[in-house]
Parts: sequence; C-alpha cells; structure tokens
Amino acid sequence: MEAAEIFARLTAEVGDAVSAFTALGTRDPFCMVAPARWHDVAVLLRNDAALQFDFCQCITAVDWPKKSILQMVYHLYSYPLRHSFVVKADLPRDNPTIQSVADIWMAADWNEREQFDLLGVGFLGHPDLRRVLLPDDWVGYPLRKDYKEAAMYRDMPTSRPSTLDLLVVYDRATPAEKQKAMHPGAGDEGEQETTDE
Amino acid sequence: MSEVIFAYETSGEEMTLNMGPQHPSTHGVIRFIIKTDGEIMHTAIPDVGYLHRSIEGIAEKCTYEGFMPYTDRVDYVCAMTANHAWAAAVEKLADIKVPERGEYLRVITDELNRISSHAIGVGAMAMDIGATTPFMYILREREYVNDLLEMICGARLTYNYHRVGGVGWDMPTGWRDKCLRWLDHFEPIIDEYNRLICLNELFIKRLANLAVVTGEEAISYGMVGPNLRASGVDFDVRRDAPYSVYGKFQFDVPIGKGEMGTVGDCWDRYYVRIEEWKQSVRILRQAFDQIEKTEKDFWNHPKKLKPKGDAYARVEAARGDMGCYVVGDGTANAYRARFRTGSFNSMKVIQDKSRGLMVADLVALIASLDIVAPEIDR
Amino acid sequence: MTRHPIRGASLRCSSLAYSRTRRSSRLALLAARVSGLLLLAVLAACSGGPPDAAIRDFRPLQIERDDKVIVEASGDLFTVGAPTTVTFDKIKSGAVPLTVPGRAVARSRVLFDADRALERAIALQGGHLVVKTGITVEQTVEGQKKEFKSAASNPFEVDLFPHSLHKVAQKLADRASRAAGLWTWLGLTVEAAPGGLLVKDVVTKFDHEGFFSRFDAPPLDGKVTAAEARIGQPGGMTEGEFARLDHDGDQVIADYEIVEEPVSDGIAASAGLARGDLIVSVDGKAMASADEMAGLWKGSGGEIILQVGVQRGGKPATIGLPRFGRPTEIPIWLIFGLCMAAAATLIALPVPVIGGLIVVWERKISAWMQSRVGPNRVGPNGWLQWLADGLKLIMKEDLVPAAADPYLFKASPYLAFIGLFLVFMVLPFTGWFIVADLNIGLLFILSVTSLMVVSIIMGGWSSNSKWSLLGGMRSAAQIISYELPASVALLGIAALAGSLSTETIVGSQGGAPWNWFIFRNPFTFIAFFIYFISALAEGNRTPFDLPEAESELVSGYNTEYSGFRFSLFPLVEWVNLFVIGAVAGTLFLGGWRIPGVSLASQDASGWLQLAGFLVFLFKILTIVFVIIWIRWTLPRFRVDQMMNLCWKFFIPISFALFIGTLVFIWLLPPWLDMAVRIVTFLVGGCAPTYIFIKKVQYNRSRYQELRLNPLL
Repeated sequence: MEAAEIFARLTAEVGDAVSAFTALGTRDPFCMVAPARWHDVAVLLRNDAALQFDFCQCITAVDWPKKSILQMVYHLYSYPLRHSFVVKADLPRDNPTIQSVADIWMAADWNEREQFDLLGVGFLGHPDLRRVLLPDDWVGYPLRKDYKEAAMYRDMPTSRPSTLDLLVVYDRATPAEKQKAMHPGAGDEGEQETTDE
Repeated sequence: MSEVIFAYETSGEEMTLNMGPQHPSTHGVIRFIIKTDGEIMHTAIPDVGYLHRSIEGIAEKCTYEGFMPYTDRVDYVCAMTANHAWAAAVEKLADIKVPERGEYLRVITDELNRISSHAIGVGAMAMDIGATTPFMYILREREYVNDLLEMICGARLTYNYHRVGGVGWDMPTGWRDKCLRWLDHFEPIIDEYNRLICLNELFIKRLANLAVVTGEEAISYGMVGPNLRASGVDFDVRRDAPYSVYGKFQFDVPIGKGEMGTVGDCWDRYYVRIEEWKQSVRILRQAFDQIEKTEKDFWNHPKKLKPKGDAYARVEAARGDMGCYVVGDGTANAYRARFRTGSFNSMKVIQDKSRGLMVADLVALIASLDIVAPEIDR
Repeated sequence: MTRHPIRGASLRCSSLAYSRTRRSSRLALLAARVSGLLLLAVLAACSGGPPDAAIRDFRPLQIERDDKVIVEASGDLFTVGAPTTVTFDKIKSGAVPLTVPGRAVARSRVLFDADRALERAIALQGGHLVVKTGITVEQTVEGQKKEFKSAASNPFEVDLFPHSLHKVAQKLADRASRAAGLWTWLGLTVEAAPGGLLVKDVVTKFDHEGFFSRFDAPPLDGKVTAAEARIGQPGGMTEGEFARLDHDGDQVIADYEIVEEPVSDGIAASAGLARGDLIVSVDGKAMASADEMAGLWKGSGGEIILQVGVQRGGKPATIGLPRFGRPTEIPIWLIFGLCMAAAATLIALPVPVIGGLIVVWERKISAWMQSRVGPNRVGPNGWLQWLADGLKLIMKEDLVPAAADPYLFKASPYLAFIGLFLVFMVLPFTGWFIVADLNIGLLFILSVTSLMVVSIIMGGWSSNSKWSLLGGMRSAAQIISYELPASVALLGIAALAGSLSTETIVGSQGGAPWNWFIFRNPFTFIAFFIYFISALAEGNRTPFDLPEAESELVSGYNTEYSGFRFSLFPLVEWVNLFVIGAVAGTLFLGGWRIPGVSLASQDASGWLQLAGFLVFLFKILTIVFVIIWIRWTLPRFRVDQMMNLCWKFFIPISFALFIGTLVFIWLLPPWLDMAVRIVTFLVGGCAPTYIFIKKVQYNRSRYQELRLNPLL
C-alpha cells in the first residue's frame, strides 16, 4: 500500500488524530500524530487488515530546542504487506510525554526505554520505564542538545584532559620540566622518599 | 517445548546469581541478573550498557564522513554492514548516487563479512555449549576472510571501507581470484562443518526445542535477520526491500523449518546461519561475475555534504535488519543519528524466554541469538 | 548320562547329584539354581565351571595366599560341621595328592584357606604353577567316610599364584637373613629302614624362640628334640655346640641358605612328607643314612627342590622337598611393610609427573585436532610446559576468600588428592609391581574415588561463591549418580574373575584381545562402554564437564582457588584420566598380559614384567587419548539430560548387563565360550576398527586439498 493510501485509511478510521501527511520533499513519507491519541492510532496500524504494521522497526526521539519540541519518530513496517510508514509526534520539550506502545509491539518496550534513557521522553503506560543503557542514578539525558555532563559521577571524573592539550603543554615546557614530567620524583629528594615508601 | 524443562517444579526458594559482566559466555560485557532455583531460572534480567559509548551522540559531533570509522564500533563483528547502513542512510538523505562498481564492492565486502560474522556466531555457539574444536575450525576460515578484507581495506576488524558515495578503494589486483579460490575452498567446508556439529546428537539435544520463539512473537519482539527467519518468517531485506545491487542476484532465503524440533528453536537459529553461508557464497560468486562488467569508477565523492531532512535506511546486517535513521539540519554534522540493531531488540527476548530455562540453556539462548554487546549498547 | 534340561548337552553326574536332579522339577531346579547363583555372585565369588559332577566348581581358579577357596557341589552334598578335607589329586604329576583341611560352610560349599596348604605348594614350585587336578572332598559323617569327586574327564585348571610383593619381601628377607647368618630348619626325623629311610616323625609346629633358647642352653627338651635339630655352620656356631646337638646320626636337621618366609610348619611337613613314608631316593639317589640326605639337602648346587621318592602305603610317589626354609630375625611383616612403602613411594612420586605430562599431551592433541601449534617452548618440544605451569602456580599467592570457610576451603584440594592417589595402591602395573594387591581391590577403587565428590562439594560450598556452589552441586549429583552404573558395570567383571583383587582379575584374562573381559561376551562388551562413559562423568570430563563448565559456571567449584591449592584440582583431574584408563585396562582390556605369553612365564621373567608394564601403559594411554579426543569433539550435556541418561538408561542397562553376564556364566557351555569370544571380538572390536579406518581414509582422501591455505 502506498503511503498516501495508508494515510487515507488512517484518517478514515481515527480522523484528526493524524495530520500533516508529507510525501513530497522527504525521503520517507510520514504523518504527524497527536501524542494523546497515539495509542489508538498504533492499535489501528497494528491490527487493521489493510495496514498490518506488525514490525516496529525503530523508535527515535529527536530534540529540537529551537522549535522547543521533542519529536518522536516511529518507523513501522508490515511483513505481510511489505509496506512501511513513518509516524511522527511532536512533544513539548518541557514535558515530553507520549503514550507507550509497548503493549502493541513488544519491541517498543526496550526501544522506548532507550529513548527515555537518552532523551528523557516519558512513555505513559510503559510497564517498566527505567534507564537501560545508563546507570539508574545518572543525571540528565545525554542526547538532548542542551545536555551538560556533570564533572563527576560517583566521585569519578567524567572527562580526561585531551591528549592534544597535553602535547601542547609538553611542547612548551622547558627541558627540565620535561625531564621531571618523564621521571616524576627524580631529582626531588622528598618525592623520592615518598615513592620509596 | 522440551518436555524435560517443564517437568521440573521449583521449590520457590530463589537464589540471585550475577552473571557477568565479565562472564565467559555473555559475548562481551553484558550482565544478567538471574533469579534461579537450583539450575532452573525464574528470570534472567539483562543489564546492558557496559559498552555504551554514545555512538549516536558522537555522530552529532562528527561530519557525515568522519563518523564512518565509528560505525565500525556499532557492530565490530560485522563492521562492513554497519558502514553500509550509515553510508546508505546518508546517501539517501543527500541524494547521492553510488557508482555501480562501488555498490558491487559493498555487496562483496558485506557478504564476506557476513560469512565471518556468522562464523563467530556459530562457532561461539558451539563453544558455549561445550564444544571447543568447531570454533577453532571455523575461526580458521574467518581468518581467511579477515585476510581478504585486510587486502582490500587494510583492516581486519574495523574496516572503515565504505564511504558516503561509494567505497574507499577499488579491489587490489588479483584479489578477485583469491576470493574465488577461497570460495571454492569454503563451500565444501560448510558441509564438512555441518557434518561436524549440526547433526551431532548432543548438539541437537541441547538446542532443539529450546527457547522457541514463534513467528508472530519474533516479529513483535522486533527480532530481525537470521533470528527472525529461524522463526519461520520469510523475510530478508536483501530480497524483499532490495538496496544496493542486491536486486540483481539470485539467491534463496533460508528459513527455520523446525527440522530437529520446533520452528524457532535455538537449533533453527543456528542452522539458518549455516544455510546463509551458502547463500552468501552464491551472492559472492554472482557479484564477482558481474563486477567484471562495471565501470572503473567506484566512489562518487560528494563535494559538499550538508543535507537537510531525515532518512531511514535499512540494510541486512549479519545480525539482521540494521536500520539507520539520520536527521540533517543543513550543516556538515548529522543533527541526529540512530542505529536500530538486532541485538538490542533481542535482549527483551532473552528476558522473556529465559523463564523456566536452565542456566546452561541461557548460555545457549544468548549464543543462538548471536548477540554482540556493542550492538546493544552502541 | 542324561540331557541337561537347559543346555541340551550331555551331562555326566555322580549318583548323588543325579538322583537329586531327577527328584526336582526341572523348572524349579532352574529357578533355584539361577537365584542361588545370583546370590552367590553378589557375594562376588563366582566363576564358570562345568556342572558335570558332584564337585561342580572350585574358585577362584587362581589361588594365592590369603584366598578363601570355595569348593562347590551341585546339590546338597555336604554335612555342615562334619570334619572335612579337600584333596587335590595331584598338584604335580607324580606327586602325592595334596590334602588340606576345610570346613563345610553350606550343604553345597566347602571352604578352605589357601594360606595353610596351597601357599606351600606355590612356594614349592617357586612361582607360578598351573596344574590340572581333580578335586575330592572327604567328609566323615557319623563315623562314615563320604567322598565326593570331580569328574575325571574335566579336571580343574588351578593357577597357583604367589603374591608378588610378598615374593619380593621374601627375597629381601632371604638376603637379610643370609647376611645375618641365621638358621634354617627342616624338621624331619628319619631312621634307616629296609629300602630307604623311614620317616619317623614330621614336625609341624616349630617354636622359634624356644628353639633358640634351647639351643643356647642345651639339653634340649622334648618338644623340639635335639634329634630334630642339626644346625649348620653359618652364623657363629661353634663346632662344639654343633656336635653336642648332633648326637644322633640318624636324625637330620639341616640348613639351607635359600629362605622361605618363616614357617610355623616344618618344611618337610609342608612339602607333604608324612609319618610312615619310606624315603627311597632323593634326586634319584638311594639314601642310606640321614646324614646323606642332610648333606644333599644342605649342599650347594643342584635344584632348589629335591625330588624325594617315597613309598606311602606301598605306592610310589614323588615329593618335592624344598631346600629352604628357616626362621629369620627380621619379621616378615616389617619387610613386607617396607616393601609396600617403597612401592607406594615409587608409584606416588611419578603421579604429578603423569598428571603434568597428560596435561601437555592433551594440549598437544587438542592443538593437533584444532590445527594449532600447541605448547612448544618449554623443554623439548614443549614437554616441560607442565613444570613451568606448576611452578608458576606454586609461586602464586594462596588466596582464601574472606567469606569462605577457611578450614574446609583449605582441606578440600587435599581430599581430592588423597582420594585419587589411594587408587594407585591397587593398580596392577605388572604382576610384580603393585603396592597392595588387596582382595577387595575393586571395591577399594570405587570407594576411594568417591572421596573426589566430597572434596568437590567441600570446595564448592566453602568457597561461599554462588558459581562454586552451583558447580559443587552439579558435581555432587553427577558423580554420585554415575558411580552406580560404573560400579554395576564392573560387578560383572568381578563375577567373571571370581575375585575383586585387581591382580587376579588381570590374571583371569588372556593376552590376546579375545581373551580380554571386554570381548568375553556381548554383555561385558556393552558394560565396558557403560563403565567408560560413567567414568567420564565421574571424572568431570566432556561431555559431562558440567561442574566446571567454563561457558556456564566460569570455572565451577574451583573458581575461588588460587596458587598451589588450585593446581591440585587440575592435577587430580588429569591424573584421573590415567586412573580411568588404568581401571578400564585392568578390568576389561587384559591389563599387563602380553599376547602369546603365558601367565607363568610372564610372572617368571623380569623383562616380561617390564614388557607387560609397557603393554599396560599402552592400553592406558590409548584410553586417555580417546578421552581427550572426546573432550575436544563433543559439546556438553545439560544437567537434566545428564541425569536422564544416568537414571533412565545407564542404571537399568548396567543391571541388565550384570544379570546377563551372570546368566551367561551359568549357561554358556565351555565349547561355545571361545566361539563367543571370537565373535564378540570380530563384531565389537575388528568391525568398528575397520569401519573407522575406512572412514578416516575416506575423509582424508576427500578433504586433503582443503587443508591448504587458499590464499597462498
């Protein structure tokens, strides 16, 4: 089924829950969906005999701070009918929540968890919405554009000085300083003792 | 289902067992929190992320072409297809046409890499259930593939061979003959290897009827590639959503038939990979035939790569349908990149299917899904 | 003559047995016999013999010191409690019959002690003696003499088998006492009589201490009369003292330098001379006086055994009179103990070496199988790799986890070590070379190997690690389960050999493959494989290596161990391969028997002993190779499959095989025996070997060109 037909079928069933079908100027035709009605649409996409999108390929969230939205992108594919479709949903950036579809596609479970983990999208009705890749006590959502990594995580520094920076420092150093850097403690009595201890 | 497994009654006393992240058979650093009653597991909860390098985050900080070496690390066992996925996505985004020779070289390297990846998969599977020698035999063949790939791109594991718009280099002189000679050598080895383990009674007993995933379940779980086909779903991106020049080849798509047990059991997942070797060899032979007729040009090097919009490209990697979603905002860097990988989706399968299995079966299940840790964590 | 109800072969019965046969119904008889036989066999005393006469069976056929020998009758013949003697017609042709006291322990069984009489006969022959003899049991019931004979047509082949280590001890004692110049003693009183020397008295009891004290302070009193003793010169005896004792020329006590173990019987008595015998000749020479005989006996040169021609009750006979036997100062048990200790050291010391070499060998084989190079750096061609590994492990820190139970944790490896090393005590490396040929040898092996499981559970539990615990748990279930089929598979062999002693079991087999127990009948053939597979499971080897399944349990029960303690576990594991090979080789594959060499000649020659050892080693290494081969070929069982295999298949099959073996022993006519062996050998041994060779040739021919690197 062509993308336009799929959209037509969707509008026929759920009306204004889907909108803004775009096929021109884009590589994969998509339509927008209202976050609050996404679950109904997903059920339709999954179960409708003409659609049968049984494979939830990919769930992606894209952060658009300029537009102040978080955009959800769902890539769907139908094995029986061999057609694909993309559904997008714009979520407000300050409270990005959308209905979970983990009960429709089991694949969505972990994929939604990942998007929650990395971009902080809340999935309403998800059975087990925990961080998946990052530790549970991680602060922030790394793939958001305004993410600043904390300097320390559990008393461990999260970054190291760049090797290039170190090389610049090294190049500018005097030979004595280089010697000291290469052999820490050499020529310094006090430090020597410390190392010996 | 195996009658043995469900003949057990658990006493209700649970022991929590921490398997990994440094466990020999978790195929990289994955951790499983196992609740077990003796040998019978109640659940095995995967705890992933130990290899998380935020490759998608890195993609936002690199140029489109500069990100190519990082894609090797998405799936280091089958890096060519990860290269290909990224290249395909960017090409789709930027409307770049790849020269035919480049496409053929991509297909050839993809298929060679698929063979070597499946070699690791089935070899490690045999090793995980206790047979060490098959692993060595099949790794010998993998070494040859590595040699071949080294000849064409200089690297044995992380190739960085595909480019946006083609491939990095043409194949060296005499490489085609060496490949063909190796194919002549490898094709009978498949049967020899098959006789060595596939039909081994112990092997079948360990794998048949184990952790059966039905076709519907497999689709719903988002299982892809050999794992999906083992469950009886007749789908292959190369054939059903052809990309590159795959449309020009004749090949079969092997699916699980439940020869030794139920469709979708571990043995099927294993056997499909063996069968895929044969198909890969077929594709390679055809590709080597057809590449002779192509033009010399192999890389349509884009002068300016600042695409806008988004694109989703899927390729058939060794661990199945690998999707790459790229969003461009008109700069030299990708605005958002996303890799959709087979192993990540398989983790949910392990979590669900491990209930009632034995500890030893968990190892077999992990191995049969051919999981690669960086593909999960990225 | 009658037809046997089962076998249909002709059967000759004595009148008694025959009448009993006719009175019973045939079926009841069969049932009674089978059940009786089963019972007997479980008591581990059973061997094939034709039920042709009143004396049906006699076992073990191979007799050695300390054996309890059972004479079995068909039917109820004997009277329990009545004075009983067992007579061997002729232990050697021309000799007088050998009579030993026995006792009827059941109405069909007479028991006697091999110590008292047969040992003597063994000693007389100076080693192995295979004789064919009929057996007569005589009983006196209410003043009436009853006699039961074995069929004349079917003499028993009795193998008199000296205890090997004992022999060594004897020789050492001999040397020692010769150096100390101690005394020998014959214990025979003769007087000149018409036609020769008449044996007046034979001393059967000799009181060493009393003898010597009397000797120091003559006159000698009545118990050992002075007449009995004529002491030879060695050992600082003065002529005067000698002369004082030698006051009666007719009476001979002589010495001889070859020493038998200290005897409580006089030598003459044990040789079979009896009061009233008339000694006609000694070594063919007519004897005129006691001195003459004493001179011959004492003199140097000549045979070890004097052939004494006697007239007993008017019948001529020949008696072999050994020219040795004297009390020694060094107690034989001490020498025997020292011999045992020396042998134990000799066997225990190379065990780590054996383990180490097998490790290297396994690594080399696996490398060969996997197209790798394998260890080739340390020592010649890598053969000292085990030494390097061992040294490295010994130098490592001995870690005990903080949460572990320190005592159990530390003790566990040693227990495994001890359990395995004890097995070496009863492994018969050659006929001579065995630390202790226990008469419960087989039982001993089965018992001490069970110590392994204690060690593994202790190690797994005390480590306080879940993986170790899982490993220990698996191994407990596995080893205990598989001990059953392994033991039952071996029981059949015990029944065939009629003994649990490992040396006896080896001796009961022949050198040629079809005389091995594995090809003795189809049941033992299958039993071999049951044992072999169960032994793999007991030894935690692939496909049963679940307790240390690397891909599942990290390292299993020994996960938490380090350093020297850790090194003991692998050592034990690999030495265990050797033990599996040795036990299988001993019980099924003919042990140290060399094809074409008789038991007697092999026992007589040191070189043949060495050759026998090499043959045994070859068999062991072949089995070890097969085990290694299996390890690098097969995947691993899952724990439930392993248990299923044991309890649902192996245990029933092994019991069936055991019963099958017993029925086979019972029912197989002797003429068919060899045919069965040959057929089993051809079908079970030759055919698979042929098919295997063909298969290998086919594979080689087919895949040869593929071995080459296609890229070169």
